[in-house]
Amino acid sequence: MLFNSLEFLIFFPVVVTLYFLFPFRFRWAWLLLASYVFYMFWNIPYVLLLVVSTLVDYTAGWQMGRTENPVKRRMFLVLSLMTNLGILAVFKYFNFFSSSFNALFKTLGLSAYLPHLNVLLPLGISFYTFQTLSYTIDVYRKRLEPQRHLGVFALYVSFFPQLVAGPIERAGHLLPQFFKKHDFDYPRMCDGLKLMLWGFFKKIVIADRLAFFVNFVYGHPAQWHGATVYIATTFFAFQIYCDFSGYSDIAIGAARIMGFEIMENFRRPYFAVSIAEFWRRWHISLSTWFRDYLYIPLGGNRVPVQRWYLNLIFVFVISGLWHGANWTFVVWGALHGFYMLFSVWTEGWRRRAVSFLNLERVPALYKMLRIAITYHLVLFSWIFFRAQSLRDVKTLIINMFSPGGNDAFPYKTFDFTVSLALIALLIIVHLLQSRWRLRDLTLRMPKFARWIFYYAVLFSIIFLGKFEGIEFIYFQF
Amino acid sequence: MNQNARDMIAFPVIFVILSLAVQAYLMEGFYARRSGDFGEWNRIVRGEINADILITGASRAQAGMDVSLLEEDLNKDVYNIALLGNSLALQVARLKVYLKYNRPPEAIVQVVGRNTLRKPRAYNPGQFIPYLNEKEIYQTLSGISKHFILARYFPLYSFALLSHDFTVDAVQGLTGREDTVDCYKGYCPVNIDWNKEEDVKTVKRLYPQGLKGQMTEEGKAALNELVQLCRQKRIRLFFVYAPVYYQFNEFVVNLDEVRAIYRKLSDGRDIVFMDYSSAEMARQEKYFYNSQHLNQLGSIEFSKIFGPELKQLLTRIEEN
Repeated sequence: MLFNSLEFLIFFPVVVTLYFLFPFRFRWAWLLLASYVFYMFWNIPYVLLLVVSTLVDYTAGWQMGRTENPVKRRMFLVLSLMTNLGILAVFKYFNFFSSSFNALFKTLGLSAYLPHLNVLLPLGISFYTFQTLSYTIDVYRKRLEPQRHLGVFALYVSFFPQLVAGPIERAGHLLPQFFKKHDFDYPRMCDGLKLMLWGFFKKIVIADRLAFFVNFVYGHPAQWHGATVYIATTFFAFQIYCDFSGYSDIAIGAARIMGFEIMENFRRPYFAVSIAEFWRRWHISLSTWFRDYLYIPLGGNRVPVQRWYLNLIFVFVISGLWHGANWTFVVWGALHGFYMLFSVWTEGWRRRAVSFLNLERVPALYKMLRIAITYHLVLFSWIFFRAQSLRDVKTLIINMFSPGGNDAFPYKTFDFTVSLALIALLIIVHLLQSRWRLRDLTLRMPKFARWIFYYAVLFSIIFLGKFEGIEFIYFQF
Repeated sequence: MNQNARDMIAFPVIFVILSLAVQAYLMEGFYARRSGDFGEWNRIVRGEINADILITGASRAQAGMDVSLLEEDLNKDVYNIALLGNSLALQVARLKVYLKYNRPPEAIVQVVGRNTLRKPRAYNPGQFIPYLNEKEIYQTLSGISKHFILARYFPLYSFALLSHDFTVDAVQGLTGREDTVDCYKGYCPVNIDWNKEEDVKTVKRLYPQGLKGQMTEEGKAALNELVQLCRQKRIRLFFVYAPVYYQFNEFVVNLDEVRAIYRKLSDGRDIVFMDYSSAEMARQEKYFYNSQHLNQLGSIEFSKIFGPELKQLLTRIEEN
């Protein structure tokens, strides 16, 4: 089920109302049922994958809790990892690897053929797989007690607000919340609704509007040059931010209405002053997952320097692959890894340049410069993320630096003007958010003015939004 | 009831009231329009047409029948209520609305083609929204898409779903600043160049096995409804298969079958089938703006042929 669908507008109030009406002991069952229904709106048979992940990880966690024998514990961890990553490999990566191997063999003049699987990519598989893996790894590390209640564990894996596109929650944070009774709380409901409203605005009004221009250019990369490619990529930067952070806001808001706190996923990422900071602000639940379950176990930066470089590149390449089974994503991840390395290698040189130019004496300018550089590095990487193939990437990059041939681009349209205005609005909101909590600011307004503001947002969603069933970009991951 | 409970009720209630008010206001914009699709609909529901001869059909009717020439030839009031891109079911629904508000015409010229009997579909759906309270239209549309049901009962639903051009149409109507449309009594000639080679190539590529005229059960039911309606209202019905570029006709594998349907219904008196699909002018590229549609020159030439023949037929029928 899409958040931006009529079905969800009916589903959600019904689920929330009955959730508060049910006695506490039945609430987990109600939410579990609602979560499975939510998933089955997309595809009924694929819910079985969710059930398999749940049963395997529940069993693995339970068995690990029953023994102190490290071999047995490791065996159950491996069972969980193999099952979850195996499902992921088959459904998400098999065709990518088979086509890559076939292409490689062909290039080498060898005859080998790996088949192509005609399977649908299960919605949100990367999200719920990582969420449930964090549970078994934490139980293995004895950072978490195994969950004995199968129903509540199943709810942790499938909790509908964040099931298909995160944030990727940790069991230690989310599971205990299911055992706590949440009474209906009016201010909390308003807070959740406001967050959902802002999420819908970002998704429906901004992201889906920008998508039109992005698709226009990225659909036919050879046709476009110079500023048009730059503008389309900028639009994509804001599209993907609004799409994904919009989804996260709706998820967090929906959960909050029912009394659950889900982790923050975005913190104004385009205001980051370095790539490292960008990753502390962008898709926080995923970057912390990779930090805790991959980067640190590999040794993090507490290893010889060459190994540290390797760790960084490896984690970013895997992160790229997590986003999609395509070489464009792999290169996108590697590029971010390279950015990180480059920032380490050039740290001394950059410090001397800043000192030479006396930039520290004008901190605001220095900060703006760092933000602009970071933003453009990220922007460049988005070309890899959005393009359909590495060939398209090459075309787009060459074309970006060559003039001409953009007459057909709809610069002079109402939609284009509105798109620019919406990006400006988003930047203003982010600037305000860096100084104040906007939700608190709205609460200080008189009720009359506050309601007018909310109605204005609602009507702008209706009149400026795009409701043509465009899916959230991150669903494909 | 405490303040929070009151707010929880008041907020959505006010939102619904505001939505209804905004919707009603914007609808006035559509009703105020004089041009384009809304202008035509407004003339129909206000009973302003009352033509002697009514032309119906889809794009081939809208662009292919020069109303002023036909008026000259027939010495009668002619109007074209063709519905661009829409199926026969919707054309019949529009005709029913027309007959509800206007005097029945003496004759209806129903332009038919390969796809007249296709599955019902709504092209340019926004044009129907202000008229969903017309039960004939609503009944047909609600069977085509659930969105029309929602658009009727949920205020502003259609404004959310359709592109912003729909809202702009309403605002233009409210401000009286409408885009001008080059149409006369529903006849909208088209003057664009035709790249024939490219068109033929595309058709060959897309349909290597040939193209089949669609004849669905829904289409046949709509055709029967049209026939019954005309019989009931004592309106003469002329099925006209307007010219199609000859090379395209060769692609249609069941053209004879399509034409046979109308021929079978024809009794030479109340229902007549006039077949120009393979007329001489269909071999001349200069009369077309694409393989299936006459351009302005073609519509003039065709009307010069069709008008006198229709007049002759009408006179003969009246004499009998």
